[in-house]
Amino acid sequence: MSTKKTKISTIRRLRSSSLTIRNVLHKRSMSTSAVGSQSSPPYFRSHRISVSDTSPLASSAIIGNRPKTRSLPTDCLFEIFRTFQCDYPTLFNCLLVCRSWAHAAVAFYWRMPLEHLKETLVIDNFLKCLNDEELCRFRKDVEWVDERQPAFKYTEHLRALSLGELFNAVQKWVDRIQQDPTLAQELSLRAWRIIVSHVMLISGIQSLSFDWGDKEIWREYPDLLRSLPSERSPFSSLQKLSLHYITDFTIFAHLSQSATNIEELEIIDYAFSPPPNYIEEQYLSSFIKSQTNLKRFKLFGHGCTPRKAITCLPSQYRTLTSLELIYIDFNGSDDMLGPIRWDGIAKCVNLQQLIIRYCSSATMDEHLYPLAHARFPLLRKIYIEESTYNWDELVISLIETNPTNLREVFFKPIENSRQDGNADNNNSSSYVDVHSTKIIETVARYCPDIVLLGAPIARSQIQHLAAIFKQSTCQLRSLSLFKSTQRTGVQIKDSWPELGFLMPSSMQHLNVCIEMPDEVMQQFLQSTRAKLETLWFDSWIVCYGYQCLIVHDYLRQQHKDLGLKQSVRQFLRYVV
Amino acid sequence: MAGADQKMIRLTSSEGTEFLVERAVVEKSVLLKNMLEDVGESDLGTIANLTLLFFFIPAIPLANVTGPILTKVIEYCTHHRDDPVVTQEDDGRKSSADIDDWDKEFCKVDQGTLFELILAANYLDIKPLLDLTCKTVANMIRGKTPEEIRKTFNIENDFTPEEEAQVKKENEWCEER
Repeated sequence: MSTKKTKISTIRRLRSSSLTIRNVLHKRSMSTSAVGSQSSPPYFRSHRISVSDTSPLASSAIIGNRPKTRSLPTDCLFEIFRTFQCDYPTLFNCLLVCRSWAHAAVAFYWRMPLEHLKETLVIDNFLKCLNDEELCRFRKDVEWVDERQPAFKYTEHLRALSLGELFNAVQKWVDRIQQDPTLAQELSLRAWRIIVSHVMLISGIQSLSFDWGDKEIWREYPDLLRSLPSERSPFSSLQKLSLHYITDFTIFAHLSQSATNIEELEIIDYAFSPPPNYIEEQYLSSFIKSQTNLKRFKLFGHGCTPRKAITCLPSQYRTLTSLELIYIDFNGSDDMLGPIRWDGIAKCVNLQQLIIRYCSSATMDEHLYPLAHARFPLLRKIYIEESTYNWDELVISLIETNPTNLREVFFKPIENSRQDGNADNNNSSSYVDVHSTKIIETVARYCPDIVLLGAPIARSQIQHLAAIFKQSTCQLRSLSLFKSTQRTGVQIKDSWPELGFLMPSSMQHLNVCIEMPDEVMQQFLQSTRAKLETLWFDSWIVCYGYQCLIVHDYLRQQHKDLGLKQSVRQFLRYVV
Repeated sequence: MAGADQKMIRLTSSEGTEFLVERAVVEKSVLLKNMLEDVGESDLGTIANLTLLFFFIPAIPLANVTGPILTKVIEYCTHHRDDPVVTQEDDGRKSSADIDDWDKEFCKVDQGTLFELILAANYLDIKPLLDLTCKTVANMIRGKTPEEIRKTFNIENDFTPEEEAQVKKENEWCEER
């Protein structure tokens, strides 16, 4: 009973003091309510809203004879300005409307300002935001005096920072103010260090890129990280971390101290020569294991075998949704450690996308077998591009096991990867593994409602592709077809115009990486219902004369006639 | 009309107007959904007997939402009652052009009502309605100069000339794009 009283008193606390319950049920028709009249309705007069703008800048005032509109609190202005994302001209106009709008707009305008042309102006404003101690350090090196306070503390609003881009901008700023070019490099470095240190300690940086930059600035990254006071948790807000070219793997030990909530980790150029040793790899794997919410992991291996980085991923099995591996040699050179096994990846049950590009030496027996039978109930995308070997067999197995949410299946074979298989015709050498040509058939059987499909095609697969097109629920937006034998073009050319007729109107991007005669493609374009936005056709790598006219005729039918050259150039592109 | 087995909730607007709404519709508001879960199943009008509901179950007071605005909010929630919950990732991909016809028609109201809907959606924590109304206002802003924006929304320029010049100077790094 007492619990019930407490609960009801909870409700009563929500009431305003003047509110009394009326025992009248308001049977108003919802759809015919008379709101929105142009005269000031009575509810505006009685409505009390607490404006949550805590800015020192006053809220906007309402003026004139027009019906009075209520000014929006800052959190609602935030929601409105959030929709502009990177529409900087509009955000700039919003900044100049009034004080309260400026206060809200500046937070979005300054999230990542360095990608813009006048970046030295951005640096001017960063410098104005330095504290006294930082300014003092800065002025030891540079004769720069600007005593004016900035209109806003711009650096507090930074959310994304590329250290390389920042250095480039600082260099330009130094070039602008420094007369002696021999000092420019050293001054740029000092100014860059002071700004980075300031930004990392006062901003809630969410996205940080240790990128290549200019003048080998990447050499400075380890020292820079060591100089940041770890007790102030400079990376505690970090959600996205991107590293290009790692020279010192101990940086991961420094990052681990406060960067433990990263959602997206991208490592580009994991190593050149020599590859990292066992101890160095351990720093990275410990860093990955320290994460509490890693969702997306991308690793560009540069031809090496990042054994520990991959085998430690199961520590993130609860959160990992996307795995992208590029240019990795699965065979490795260290026989003592054996091959990379995928048992752990198979445990990542929340995986939504698997992307493998330009990887080599994966074999079904040694590497891929556990993955082939893994259950990923949320799997949405499989993307395999020019990797060896057996990935086609893996794709088929993953489709069969996890078709429910699958919307994108893309398999681009590596040409001539096998010469012993034979897809469709005993008299022609096969370009791809035997299984590759069954991907379309498997998609038609298990997940015909996909929106993106890329696969090798053979004559036996045409009926299955047609079956996908004929689905009443077909939503296919992107199709890429690759040849399975040298004679694929000859084998499918007779069916190609009919496939064009069946192609759904939802199709936007078509890539035909198969040689066929111009007339066949002309018949296709004349018969298709698809309203293509782009077309890639291998035979038209250089498009001129007759081919141009074929395309132009199609575009005219689609009312996309922007002038011959412009429209053809925009149309003939490879877009997946 | 809700079936007899539908669980109903009473809501009271700021002027005291009462609304009887299906619980599934009310739960489009995260604020109210959490509150109903906290308070419990049987204590808050989730009974079919309307007489009992009237006399013994207190209505949920919404002191920040007027009757006409609450009517519009209920209309929106009723229309979208079966929509899946939008994740932040899905939401991020939507541009301000992605407004369907019903929603466009729903937002054809005067500016005051539109602002009140934003405030109500914010207060009641109805993210899809907040997104919709914010996108509608955003579309009214896009392409306008600061002066045109002030005219559209009847806003006074409260910058001093010096402040305005400073804000403009410090932020004109994107103008050439």
